[in-house]
Amino acid sequence: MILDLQKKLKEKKISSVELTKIFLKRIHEDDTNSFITLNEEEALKTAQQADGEREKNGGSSSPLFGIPIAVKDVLCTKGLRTTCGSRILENYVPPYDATVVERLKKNKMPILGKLNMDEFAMGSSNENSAFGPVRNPCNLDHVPGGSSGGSAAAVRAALAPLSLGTDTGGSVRLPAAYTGVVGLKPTYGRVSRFGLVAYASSLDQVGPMSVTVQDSAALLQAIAGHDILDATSSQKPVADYARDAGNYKQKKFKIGLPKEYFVGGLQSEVQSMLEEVKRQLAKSGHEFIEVSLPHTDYAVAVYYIVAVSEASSNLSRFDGVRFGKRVPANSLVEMYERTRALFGEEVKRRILLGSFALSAGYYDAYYKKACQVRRLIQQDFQKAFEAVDVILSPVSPTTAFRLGEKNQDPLQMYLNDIFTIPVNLAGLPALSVPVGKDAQGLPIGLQWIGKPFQESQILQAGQWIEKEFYFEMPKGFDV
Amino acid sequence: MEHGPDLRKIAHLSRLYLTDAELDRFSAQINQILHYIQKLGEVETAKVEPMIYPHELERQQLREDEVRENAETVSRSVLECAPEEFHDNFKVPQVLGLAE
Repeated sequence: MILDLQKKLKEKKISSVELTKIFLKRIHEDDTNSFITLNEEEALKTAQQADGEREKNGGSSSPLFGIPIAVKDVLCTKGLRTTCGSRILENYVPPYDATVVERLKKNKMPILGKLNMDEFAMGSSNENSAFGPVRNPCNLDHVPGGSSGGSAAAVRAALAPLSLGTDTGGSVRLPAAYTGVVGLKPTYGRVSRFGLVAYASSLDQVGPMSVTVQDSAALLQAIAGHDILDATSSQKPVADYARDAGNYKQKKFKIGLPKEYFVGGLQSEVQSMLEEVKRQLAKSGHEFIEVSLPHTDYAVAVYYIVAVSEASSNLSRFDGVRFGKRVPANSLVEMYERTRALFGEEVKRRILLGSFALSAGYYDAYYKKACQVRRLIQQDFQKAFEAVDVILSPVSPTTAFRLGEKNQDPLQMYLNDIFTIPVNLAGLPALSVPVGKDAQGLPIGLQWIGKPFQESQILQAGQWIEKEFYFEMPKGFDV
Repeated sequence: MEHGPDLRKIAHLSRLYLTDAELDRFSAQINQILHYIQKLGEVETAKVEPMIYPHELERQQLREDEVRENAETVSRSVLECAPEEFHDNFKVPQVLGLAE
């Protein structure tokens, strides 16, 4: 889709400014609440610069040059409010850009605005934002998934052709599946986390969200690669994801199906869609092999110790001292406590859990134990990948649920992430691709899981589905 | 855990002010979550090394300590984010001399 837009830009059928104005107009008319902050003036300035450069010297050869994008509000954007969906950062304006944002700006991509999200990326439904829930464009009474709900809904509702989300336990892949768009979580370390407000530092990754697999490949290519400002970013060379995705037909896969993922509990249409995809892929010459991931059942428990422990440490910086809101008080400690009372419920719950898991007397039984089981979960995948190239699984047991349906029972909400969490724990790349809809018209997504740094393979696998099995262009992209 | 964690103590460690209603609500929810997490006790981990990062970091990520930006510009831009500043310092309420 981006290539079509780029062609129109090159042929002067439309300008970056005109394109940006079209999306900005749609955003003003939006009823999904996908955006927290708009960036109209700057976006149009960037679009003008892109048009100017294109006029002068043809612009750059990147397929992303001058294409508008929107960015999850957990990524720092210099001079542009960054709230992380939280009251505590309601008026925070970062003095610097995240590395991924710098890389977008290098491509003169107009940044339309900052996207709504679960507060500090903690949530699976985008009902935890201090700026109101995001609504699923496919059915406004349903959640779009979270925590990158705004990032997914914006693409689905044609408010932006591309977006960046972040994924710590499924927060790109789940909303992608719930809204019927493509979402990719890179290998841990593939994309810089500098300027990404940290939730769980050993799990967080920035990921592209788009209408097509090819578009996510192009966006990943632009943001991936080593960053001297992120000590956990990998120096491994970045493959030509766009080229590799285009060559998908040359590749036939050995596809693993984890037997522990199919023990019941799937919505019947998710199950039957998976069966249909399996049939079609087998007809195309791919091979299916049953694999075992024996520690699957422990993944959610591991995550809700590891992630919350890291979060309790990462969020200790929000204390009213150097940035963000400050609630006035007579003493320093009271200022900390009253300021931090501004956090939403889910954030407070996770900080409490994390502080407990790390506290004296409980550290070994909880945090250390969880880290040990985490290694076993990674080893499960390593063993499975000895026999297969990629693994296919559902993204979620169900399609998007109704607003308010699950947010009274935290544990029930956590169990939704059973298929996405293990991927983050093991640091693997994974891609969510739409494969159809349920009887209510709600999208169903499936997940391709790959070996470390094999994003090309999962993009190719995603192409097999999109090109040969199912694709639906969301309404509104015929500009 | 036989008894739930002392949430007042945890809230204090986390520097979170909670109302009595919040304490009750969180207590029930956290106990339920911790009960679920007990299942990790089923896994044999005596000889398993804890994993902190999913991949071994490729090499020790050290670099030369070079000044890349103008220090004054950076300081100013950071201080501008502060709720209260005083002569290039972050100003906060009284620290010492009050009982916690």
